[in-house]
Amino acid sequence: MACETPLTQMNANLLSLRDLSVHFAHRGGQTTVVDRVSLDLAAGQVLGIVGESGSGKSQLLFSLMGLLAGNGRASGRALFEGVDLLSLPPKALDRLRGASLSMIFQDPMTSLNPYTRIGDQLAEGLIHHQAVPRAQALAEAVRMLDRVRIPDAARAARRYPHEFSGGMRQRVMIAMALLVKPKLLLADEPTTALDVTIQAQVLDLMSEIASETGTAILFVTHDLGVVARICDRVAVLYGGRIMEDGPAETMLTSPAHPYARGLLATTPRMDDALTPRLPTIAGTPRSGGAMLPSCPFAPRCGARLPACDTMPPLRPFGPERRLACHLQGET
Amino acid sequence: MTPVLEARNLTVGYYSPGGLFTKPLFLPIVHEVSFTLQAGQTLGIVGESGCGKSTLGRALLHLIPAAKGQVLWRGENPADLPRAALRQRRADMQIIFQDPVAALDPRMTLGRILSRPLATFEPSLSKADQLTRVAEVLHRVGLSADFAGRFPHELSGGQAQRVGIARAIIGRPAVIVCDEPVSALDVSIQAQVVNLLMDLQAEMGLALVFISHNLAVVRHISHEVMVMCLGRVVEQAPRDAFYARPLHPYAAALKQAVPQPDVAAERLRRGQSLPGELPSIARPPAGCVFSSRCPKAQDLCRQVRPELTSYPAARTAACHFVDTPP
Repeated sequence: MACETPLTQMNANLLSLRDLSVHFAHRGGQTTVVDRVSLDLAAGQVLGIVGESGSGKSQLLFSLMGLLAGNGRASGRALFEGVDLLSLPPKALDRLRGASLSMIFQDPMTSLNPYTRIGDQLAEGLIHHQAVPRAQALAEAVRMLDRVRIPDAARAARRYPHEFSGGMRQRVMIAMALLVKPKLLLADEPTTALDVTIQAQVLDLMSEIASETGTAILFVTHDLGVVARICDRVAVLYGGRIMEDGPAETMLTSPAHPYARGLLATTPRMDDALTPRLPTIAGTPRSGGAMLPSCPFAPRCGARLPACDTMPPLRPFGPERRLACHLQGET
Repeated sequence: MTPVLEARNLTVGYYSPGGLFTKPLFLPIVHEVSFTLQAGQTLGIVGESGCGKSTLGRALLHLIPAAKGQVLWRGENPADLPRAALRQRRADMQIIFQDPVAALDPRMTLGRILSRPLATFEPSLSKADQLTRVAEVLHRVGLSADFAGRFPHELSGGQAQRVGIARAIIGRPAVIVCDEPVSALDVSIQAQVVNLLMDLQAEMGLALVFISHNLAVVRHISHEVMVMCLGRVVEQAPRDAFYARPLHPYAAALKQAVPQPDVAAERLRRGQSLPGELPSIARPPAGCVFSSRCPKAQDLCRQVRPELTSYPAARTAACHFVDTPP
């Protein structure tokens, strides 16, 4: 199928997704969890992918890293420096993953090998992918641990994952991901499992290092507060489709899509008016099932029109913004 | 009026298992907590992981015995009640858990899950009356009566938490301890569950103990806020006074750390995060529990633990350097 919205500046972008879809085959047929997503990410930029459970935000990341489950399949194109990640042979993808692409997962405990010392786990990427001699790789690992403010980094490198707290493990994961100086970091809810004061530290650390090394970040989160803290741009995903995208500031001050507006209104703030009832979005997020011919948000939408029985195309909407909603122009 | 729930210098902890030659060691988790809770009121308990807030919640329900001090249910100490009477009184005191699906037995239908408290607390109720009550309570939490025939795995997180709430209110309790009831839910569902709890409170005069790490959620539901750090209360205050200006540096840091959906405000906060981590609860510092991370800490703070002190507007804080509010 043709791309819904041709985006400009194709070549200036580090990552260009074109009609990226993710499907899962099962006995009953096929479920589409990401549907024709087109996005661009420039070097050094932080792009937030916001959505609730079942929005497809994590599967989108997994598809880029070739980490979909066995019955998963990605279609469309994911151009990383002009190379389509989806059609790369496994060996070539593996080379990219160690050198230019890294990923941080939500749960730092299950992503670290419990039997291997932290320093060795970090150095492995450099040794394996960049043929750095072992002693030098270990020294760089220690330097990186120090960089992410692990106290007494030289000793910490000889410890095992269980000897670290949750916040420290996540910083170890960040150190590991950034050690290979990737051009693109994929972060899947990296701070959701952390305490708020530790989350603030980790977010600061990520912005700081990213701006120093020019690493671009694709940051998946459900928290609009986190978006405000770290993201330059944001795409709101619902039912596997982009509802709206644009600069984070515009999205958070004047969201246009009813879902984006609802998400912002239901996010509790420290300074909003105290009302007897909090604003809500009726119904529950979509999970699984076949793609609807309608807008996926239509069953929960308070502003539903007859036209919403067909999926609205994602169209330009103001400077650097796109919106997929039939209400566009009527509000 | 007698408070429905009261804690007096409550200290709770666990015993580490002793070895052949070593005696079991008592490790206190919650130190000397005191508060009173009236019907229709909500006490928000806030803190980060390991601060003892869940242990405190369980001790309030007498699921963990008090090591020192007392818990009082309508002025009575559950530890003094005979077994049979205690079982009956538990109908008054209910709990909602963080992981709503794990809190439901996967092999029972929701109808059976919901009628279990009735069988325990109101054994004289006929089968037909039980079914009516189950249908009523399902309706009350916003689920249709046919949910009674479903199993927990058929529910979304938000629906499962509604069932958890239904199970807690079916025995018409006086107090519900809500242990992080919305942290596992999607943002759009969190608000639905908080609204349901506030509606039920208004209707039934419920007292709620709302345990959470999210100060923004706590603000909407609580009348009184208690901030815990490493097992100790560092600040306790009426909601509005607290959010206008927390007195304790840890409470202020927590408030500051919750990211807000406001780009301008968050840009200003970038790089302002509090360094360091809290020490382990097994090796608490000699002085103030927050001294290792506190930007205001002096030698005094590292040596002498500040006592919880009263300040105007019915609030308390445990800090050597509180700037008294004007």
